Amino acid sequence: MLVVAFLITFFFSVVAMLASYSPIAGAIGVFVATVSFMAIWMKFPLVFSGNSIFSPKYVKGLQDTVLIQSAQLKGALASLENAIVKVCGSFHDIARKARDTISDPSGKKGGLDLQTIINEGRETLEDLLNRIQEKSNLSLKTLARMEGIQVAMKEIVHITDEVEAIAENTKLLALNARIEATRMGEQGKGFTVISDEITVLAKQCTETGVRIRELAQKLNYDWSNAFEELQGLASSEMDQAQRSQRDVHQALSLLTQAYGDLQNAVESANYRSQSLSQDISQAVMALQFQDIVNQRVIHVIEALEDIGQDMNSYLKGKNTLGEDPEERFERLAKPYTMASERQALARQLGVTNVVQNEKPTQYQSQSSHQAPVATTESGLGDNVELF
Amino acid sequence: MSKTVLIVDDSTSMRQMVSMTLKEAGFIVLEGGNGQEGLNKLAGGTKVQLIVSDLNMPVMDGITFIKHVRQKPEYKFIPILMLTTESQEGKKQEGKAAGATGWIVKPFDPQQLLKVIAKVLP
Repeated sequence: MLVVAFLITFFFSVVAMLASYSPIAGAIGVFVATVSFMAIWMKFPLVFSGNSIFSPKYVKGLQDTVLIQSAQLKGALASLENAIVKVCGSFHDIARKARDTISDPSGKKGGLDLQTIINEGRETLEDLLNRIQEKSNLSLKTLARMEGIQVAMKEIVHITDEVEAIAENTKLLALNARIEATRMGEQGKGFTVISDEITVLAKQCTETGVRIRELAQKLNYDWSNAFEELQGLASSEMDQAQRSQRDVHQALSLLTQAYGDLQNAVESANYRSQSLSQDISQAVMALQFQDIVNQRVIHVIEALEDIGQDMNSYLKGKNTLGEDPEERFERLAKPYTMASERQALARQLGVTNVVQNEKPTQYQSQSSHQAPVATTESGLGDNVELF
Repeated sequence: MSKTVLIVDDSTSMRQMVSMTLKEAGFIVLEGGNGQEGLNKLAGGTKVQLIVSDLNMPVMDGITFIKHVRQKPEYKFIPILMLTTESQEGKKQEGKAAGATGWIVKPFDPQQLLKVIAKVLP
């Protein structure tokens, strides 16, 4: 039973100490293992005498158990490595998808960014509005000219009145000339003919004046209608242009605001992407614990196999437990790469003098997986050394 | 033109972490599971501009691998970074003597690794 207790406590204490995740448990394990080891050592002659509970058959059974446990640990390491490979791949996929998501709404399209498109649209619409405004102004100028035409037409009517008045006076003059010609008798006959002709001309003049007046009145009527229609149209165009201008400015303002919001969203997403990238870097770093644990567990497996070999030696009648601690340290620590591992083994074997100058790295000696702080002059981190 | 990096590590997960970090940074990556596989990759014809190697590997360890690489005239001066859990000064000196350019103790920060590479690559 004592041997079983030793093996179990030795195994777990080695795991606890090598992993360095629980110094207290490790220390307790060291204590129990040491006590067990001493107890075994003291009872060594009895235990290894061959006629006790530690029979060759029993040792063979223990050896098989150790080898089976070693194989199971190797299987567990392989499963853990596969899982880490998948997790690591997933992290990189997440980072890539995050970057792809951000690059889509960045406002770039065929070499033109959205702000350029908005600015060009604004310029085009403002140009169109200016043209509509110019057209409205032209209509107003036309209206002003038409008002001038109306004044001219009133003048024509006024002149027509004068022409009619002149024609009436001419008729009166022709009548008086005829009266005078009649009074003169035979001598005034020639004047009578002239006065008649003047009367006819005056009548024609009056008729022409009437026709001009009628025509001027009709023109004035048509002009008034056209003027009103044109005035209404110009006013409507002006209102519409101003309304369109307001609408376009409002729409462009909204578009600019939307673009600003989009820009902010993209900047925010970029910031989140960078943050995500840093988180993933931290995660990738933390995942490397698997490689460290892997190495530690492999060394535990090697220790277990070493126990198996000791048992094998015992079964063959050899005693390897009498090996010098420093020799044992050299043999077991040969594949070790971490200072914390060597120190744990040295403590276990009581040969701490061989590793007293070694310092474990910050990450390897802590239970938390914090990134190493860049403290070197090169700014590359205290775990980097360039030769 | 993208530069080619050879990663030599017996841990699949470590190779993947380094490989993905470098691929995202635009490098072309070759991988080997130990020193011998690394040498086979170099003999494959693809010119490599940087090597990142683990130390403790089966078949052929990192130090032996570096010594073999440095014997090849075309790889006499390329940067070789050791990426290992080993922090013992004696081992570092051994690596330096074998021809390593730098020593990074695991775990590494991906961004930190890229900074180191930027510093050692010509």
